[in-house]
Amino acid sequence: MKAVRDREDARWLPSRHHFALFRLLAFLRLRFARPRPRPGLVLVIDRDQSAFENQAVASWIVLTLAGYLAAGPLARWPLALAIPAALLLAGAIVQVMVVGGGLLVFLFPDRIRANSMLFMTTMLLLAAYYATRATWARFVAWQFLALVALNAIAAAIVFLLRRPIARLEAAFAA
Amino acid sequence: MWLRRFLVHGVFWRQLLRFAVLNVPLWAEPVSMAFWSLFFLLWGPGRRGVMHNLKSILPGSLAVTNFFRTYRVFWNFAWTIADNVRFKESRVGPDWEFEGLEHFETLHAHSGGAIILTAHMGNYDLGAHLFAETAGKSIVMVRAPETDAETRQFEESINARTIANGLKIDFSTRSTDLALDLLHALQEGEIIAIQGDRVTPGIAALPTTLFGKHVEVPAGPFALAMAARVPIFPLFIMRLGRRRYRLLTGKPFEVIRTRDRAEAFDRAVAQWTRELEGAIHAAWFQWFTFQPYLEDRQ
Repeated sequence: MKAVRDREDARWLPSRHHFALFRLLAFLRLRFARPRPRPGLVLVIDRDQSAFENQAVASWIVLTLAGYLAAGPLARWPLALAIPAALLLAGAIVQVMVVGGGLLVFLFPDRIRANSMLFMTTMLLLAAYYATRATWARFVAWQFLALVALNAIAAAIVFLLRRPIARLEAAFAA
Repeated sequence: MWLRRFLVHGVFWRQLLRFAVLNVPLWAEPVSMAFWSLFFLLWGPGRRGVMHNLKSILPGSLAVTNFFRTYRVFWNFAWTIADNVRFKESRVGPDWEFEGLEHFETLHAHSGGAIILTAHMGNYDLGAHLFAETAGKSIVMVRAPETDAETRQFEESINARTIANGLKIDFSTRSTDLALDLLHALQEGEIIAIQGDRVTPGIAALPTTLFGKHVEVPAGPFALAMAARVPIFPLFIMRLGRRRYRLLTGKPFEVIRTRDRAEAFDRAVAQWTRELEGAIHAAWFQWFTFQPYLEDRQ
């Protein structure tokens, strides 16, 4: 288990983030941050360590799914009722998808990664479907596709910046 | 009965948690926690137990507010047990910060035996694992066994495979033999971690007051500290957020052997309950006591 001690600014290490967009934002934040010593603080280096990133992505997925549900299967319900019902249903659907996905990828060596890719592929297919519908769900689908595209651009930039990122990270390892 | 495994203490939920930790994408974790915490609010006795305790911790609080606070307790419990399984299965730990760092360093540097007195708060299990891995000292964690036989077996098989070097788990039910083993361990310079907020049936207890209610705390840690002449370190591991914990170490105290044993125990227990009350008051949302503990017995 790798960790950085006594440095508050290590919270922004790109290696503590998962998605390229968040890695890029973390790099920019850290690049212009001043060293902030904080005795007694131990920050673990793991790509899923960022609470903000995880909660943002989780909320994004649930809200997107809830949007599809409210504009699709629950379209006949009054919106004030459809939205809370869609949010609850979206939470339950995520559970079914991740547990079902977990069973499907049982033979993969990295099951979390395989399950994550399966989930995101399903979300992309849903977005492709709803993007062509004549309901307000198409706006939900477009924002999903736009953010996926933005993350792909960020991945290319992170790849180009891999050396400066590695140098910055190495400074913390020392 | 195979249906037993689906009861709240049944093995099914432990297996499901382990499956989730090994298979669920990390970004889906907050949704899972929110969903399953809501699901476990259906567990009536646990929900009512927490709400009952909250009424004493936060006097004047409304039942409806305590219902939502109970959700927060369940939410924190779900995160702590998931963090614990994740650490055991993949050795990915949380971020840490310290409060009372000077007392923690005293404990770290202490050459003889010592007792860590903690509570069913935050992630005491993960704390013991991390301490054993980083302190380079032997630590014996005393806890109550699982009530369900299948769950107990499942937990034992996981512990046998994943337990940290230098950490040993012992159970509070075999009180007579255990007391001698623990005394021996303390004299050998080992550290004993005991939860001092709950009395399991069949073990000796000392009366005290918590939030103005008469309660009992286990007598064992205080008797051991007196017999082995070792200090007691109050220590709490509080969850601050996703994969973030605070290790709060209180000022160590001793149970000094005097002519009046009862008075020595009273003084030590009063010091412990002061620490415990302060910790619970500050972090009621992670005191995982699902039975009515603070009963009106006055």
